This record gives sequence, C-alpha cells and structure tokens, in this order.
Amino acid sequence: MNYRLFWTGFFLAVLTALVAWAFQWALDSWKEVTFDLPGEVTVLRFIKGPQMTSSSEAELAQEELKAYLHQQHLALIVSSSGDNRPEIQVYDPHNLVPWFPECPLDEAQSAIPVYLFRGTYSEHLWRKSAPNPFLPPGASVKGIIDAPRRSGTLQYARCVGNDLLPEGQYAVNTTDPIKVQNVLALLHRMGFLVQETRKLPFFFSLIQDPLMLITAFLVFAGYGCVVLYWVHYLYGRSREFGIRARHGARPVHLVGENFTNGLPGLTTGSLLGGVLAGGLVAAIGQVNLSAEEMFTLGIATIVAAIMTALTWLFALFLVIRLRYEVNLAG
Amino acid sequence: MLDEIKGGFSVALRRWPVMFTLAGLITIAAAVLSLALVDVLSQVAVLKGGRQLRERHAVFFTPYYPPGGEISRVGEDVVQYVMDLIDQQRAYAAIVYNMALDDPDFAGGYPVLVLFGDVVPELFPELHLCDPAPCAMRGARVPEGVVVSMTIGGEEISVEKALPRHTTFFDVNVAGLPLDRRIVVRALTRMIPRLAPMEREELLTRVVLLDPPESTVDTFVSGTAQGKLFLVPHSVSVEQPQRFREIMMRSAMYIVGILAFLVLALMAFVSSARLVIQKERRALKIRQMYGATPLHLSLRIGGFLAAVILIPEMIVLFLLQRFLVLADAPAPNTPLWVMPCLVVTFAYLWFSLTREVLGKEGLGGW
Repeated sequence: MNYRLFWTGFFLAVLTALVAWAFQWALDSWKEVTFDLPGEVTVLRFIKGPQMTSSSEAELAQEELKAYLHQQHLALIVSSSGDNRPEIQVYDPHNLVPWFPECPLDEAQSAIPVYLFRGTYSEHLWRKSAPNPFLPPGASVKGIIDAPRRSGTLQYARCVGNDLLPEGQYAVNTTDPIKVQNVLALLHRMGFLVQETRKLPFFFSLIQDPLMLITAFLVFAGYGCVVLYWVHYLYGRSREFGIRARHGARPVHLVGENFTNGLPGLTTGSLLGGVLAGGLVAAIGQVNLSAEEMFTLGIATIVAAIMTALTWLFALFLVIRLRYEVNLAG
Repeated sequence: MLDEIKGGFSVALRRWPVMFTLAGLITIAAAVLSLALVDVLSQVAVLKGGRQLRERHAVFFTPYYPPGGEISRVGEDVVQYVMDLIDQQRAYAAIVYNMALDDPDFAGGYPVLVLFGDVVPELFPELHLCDPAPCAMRGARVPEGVVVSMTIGGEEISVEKALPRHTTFFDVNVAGLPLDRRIVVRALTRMIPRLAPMEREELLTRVVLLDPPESTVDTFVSGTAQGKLFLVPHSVSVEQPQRFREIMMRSAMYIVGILAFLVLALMAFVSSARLVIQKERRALKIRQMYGATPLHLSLRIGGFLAAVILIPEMIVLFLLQRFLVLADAPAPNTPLWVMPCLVVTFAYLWFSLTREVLGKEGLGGW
C-alpha cells in the first residue's frame, strides 16, 4: 500500500466528512428558521408601526389575510422573538406544516386549542395539573407534540384564533414577490411595520453559514494542496516513467497501472478518515450519532473516496500523459 | 549571515505565486485555529465558572418582554418575594446593561455591573469582590480617581479598590463578561424598590434561584407573568452542559478540519520546498566552492522556509492577539499558543531539509 496516498486520502476524507456534517447542520438550521415549512420561505420580522389602526380595522385585515392565505394555498407561522408570550401561532388551512396537528374548522368556538411542546416547563406544569401562566386567556390544552427543530425556549403552538396577531417573526411558504407584497400590505393594515425581510431559498442560507463556508474552503484548498503534492511526487518519478516509456509502455498503461496501484491506499485512507472524523467530533461533543448523521457521514466517505481517486487519476494524467514526450526524451 | 537569510527570502520570492498561495493558506488556517481555540477556552471557562451554580442546582430564566417596547409592570409583592429570597441567600440577581441608561455621566460613563446578594462572593470567588455590601470596585483598566463614588437607589456607594486584570464574570445569563473596563457594585436589596423601572425589569430577568423548590419557581414565574413579563425557567445543570457540548462540537469541527488541512498544506509545501532546493542545487554547490560553510547554506534554506511558513504567520498571529486584547476577548492569548507550534514545525522542517540537502548533495554535514 502506498502510504503517501493513504495519508492524503485520509486527510481529504476527514475534510469531506466535516463539510457533509456542516451541510447537515445548515439544512437543520434552515428548517429551524423556516419551522419545516415546505418549499421556499420568506421570513418577515414585524413590530408595531406608527400608523393609527383601530382594532376593528385590524380584525378585518386579519380576516382578509386568512382568506388570502387559504386561497393561495399558503401557511403562516408566527413565532415570538423575545416579545409577548413564548408561543408559536399557526395558520395552516391546508395542513402543510408537518409537525402541527389540524386546527378545528369551526373558528367561532371560544376555547383556543393549544399543543404544548414536549420537554418544556409548560408540559411539566400540565402534567402536575398546575396553572400555566404563559397560556392566553381561554386556551385549552389539546395535547403534547414534539417541538419543531430547535424551537429554543418557546413553550407551545396554537392555532391562530380570533385575537389579533402579535409582533414577532412571520414565516410564509412563498418567495413570490407579488404574494409577499400582498401579505405585507395586509399586515401593514393590521398596524405592523416590517423590520426585516429575508427570502430563504436554501442555497442563500447555505452560503451565509460560516461553518459551511470554512469547511468548504478547507476541502477545496485541501484538494489544491493534494494535487500540488501528488504532481511534485510524480515529477520525482519522471525518470522512471521515461525509462518505462522507452521500453514501450504507453501512457494509458502507465496511468492505468499507477491508478490501480494507488486505489488500496486511497480507499483505506478515505474510509478510515471518514469514520475517524465522525467518531472524533461525536466523542468531543459527547453525542450519539443519529441514523441520519451516520447516513450523511457514510455518503460523505464514499464521495471522498471517489473524489480522491478521480483527483489521483487527474494528477497521473497531468504528469504521465501530458509529459509523456518530455519523459521519453529525458 | 544576514545575506544568506536574505538570499533564502529571494529564493521564495522568485517563486512567489506558489509560495504566496501556500503561505496565505497556512496563515489563514493558523488564524482560524486561534479563533476556534478562543471559543473553546471561553466555553471551558464558562463551564468552570458555573460549577458552583450547577452544584447548587441553580435555575435561571429566559425573558419574553411585553410587546411594543413597553416596560413590564411586575407587582411589588413579586419584587418583595425576590428580595426575601436574595436576603435568605437562596437567590442572587444582577443588572448588567441597563443601569442608569438615561444618565450618560453615571459612574464616569463606564458601564456598571450591579450584583445583589450576599451569596455572590461565595459563588464567584475568582472575582475577589469587596465585602461587606454595599461597596464598589473598578475594573483594572478604569483609572484610579475617575470614579470615586456613585448613587444607586438613593444611597451613595464609594469605589474601594481595583479588580485583578482580565477578571471575567461567568454568570449563566452572560457567557463571559470582561470586567476590565467596568465598575462592579455590590448593592443591597433595600435599594431595589427605588430602582428605575427598566433597571428593575432587567434585575427580575437576571434572577438566579439556588436550590429552589418547584413551588418557588412557579410562584416567581406566575407572579412576573401577571405583569406581562414571561420568564421561562431553565436548570443550569441541564442547560449549561448541553450548550457546552454543542459549542464544543462546533469548535471540534473547526479544529479537526484545520489540523487536517494544515497537514495537507505542509505536505504540499515540503514537496514544493524539496523541488525548489533541488533546482537550487547548482547555486548551492557554487556557493560552497566559493567558501560557503554548511552553516551558511543552512541559513539560506532557513530563510527560504521562514519566508513561507514562519514570518507571515507570526505577523498575522501577533496582530490577531493584539486585536483580541483590544476587543476584550475572553481568551486573547490563543494566537500565542499557535505560534510555538509553528516554530516547532519550522525548526523540524529546517533541520530535516538541511540535513537532507547537505547529505544528498555532498555539501558537508552538521
């Protein structure tokens, strides 16, 4: 086994496994911001605006907003961002939000259905039948659900009722400028002022993630370093290639033979690197790897092995094929 | 001698595209490694600082404020309840950011950290706080005599002495608050009712209960909720290790990744360096014929190596360390830890490359 190839394959696999992990986290945190809403999502942050709005006008605009969302097949998730109650309000007439149970069709009923998040202080209070100070007046607990990914300290989710929506973060599953504009106009009529608008196609979210950027940079630069290293290594063997060429070896034979000879080292290095990177990071973070993470790491290791083998082939081609005549003459 | 080192530099400069790229990559990796270590060290310090709090099963709170920037109206009975808990050493509280916000000249314009509770010096012995309360101390970088005394809740408190340098307050609510440019006040609970509403609100959100029975937490949370201040309780012994694990995992990814990359970059550099020295073989031989000793040749090789893997990295790491000190980072000296690692790598490469060249080319030995 060629140890040079083993170690380069090993370190490249470590870097590739870390990129895959960073990708998985970026995907998780994107789902977290968008609360697992399907498709492309726009996230808006609203505060109370300076415009004077009577409560009847605001109620009317809210009803129009609901009708518009219903008609456009959209879902709306309103979450507290440090103001008001620690809650999430969901308007999802078409059951698009995977973690939220259905809301009753009869909105006129007096009790507001509430689903507490598992593992929260609110669940603890509910289990010991103590009153929950976070719930709005007239709320009725319908059950316990798993919280959407990393919902932080938010305590429960409830259906949007007849009370007016609060300030906070609004997520709607569209990035269509006309639809977003219509939603903004209705919320403006409800007395809100938009503080921040973020369209969140996954790609943009990905390139804004510092961990993803740094690990991607490291793997990219790592491949650059490895190509440089291999090319220098193969240059060092130019004399050997020249002698073999003069004895009739064709470039394709030389490339094929060196490629095959390199495969055991590259494959073993890549597999060990992938396993070690996953194990080491999980051990330092003292976490058990989930099935999803194991799968991601497995894919990353296989991709690393294939990419490294192709890079080795490229380096061989560069030195043996393109410098065949030079080696032959030398 | 100096000419030999300069000659080594010019060998690197003549091949600047590859050498500049490699030097840049190694420099970036060394700087990111230092920053990742800052993160790890500050988190370790937070965890160490929180040991007493974990042992005492402390409970802290995440606040949800009333809408529209309104200040909460928590009842006097709840405030009195908190004051009693603090007096019984079953809680402490702090005002970190909102003390005298409407008076820019308060405490000479320096930010003030106000701590309530006689249990505080016991929980944070590394702060070496003044005793007994009420009393105040100035951060190590607050000049003496600038702040002599201040009035909090109608009582004048004099500033007694300076805190040790690089003192950091590792409370559960603020993950590492540097105190060098702050005034730290130990106040008495009798001052609480006379605080401004915004100061009082912050104090309530930063209450930390020690060994609290469930009923105490429930009473406090429901009392503040009536004033539209919703406080979600967390246990330090559950929350802090979990947060620590998440941050350690993220930092581990940076550190493992950068180390793997550094090995690859150094491998590429060594192979390039070998090729460069091989091309310089004739020049080295001629120099030897004109009287250059092995020492001269090794200095030339050392100059070449230093130009790529030592000097640019050292300059950037030194500047980064100065920046971290100025920015009051919790562990500003991590670049100084990376520097010796680079020096050792440089020394090893210098030694091995020189030995290889002198041995292989018959240019003499050590």
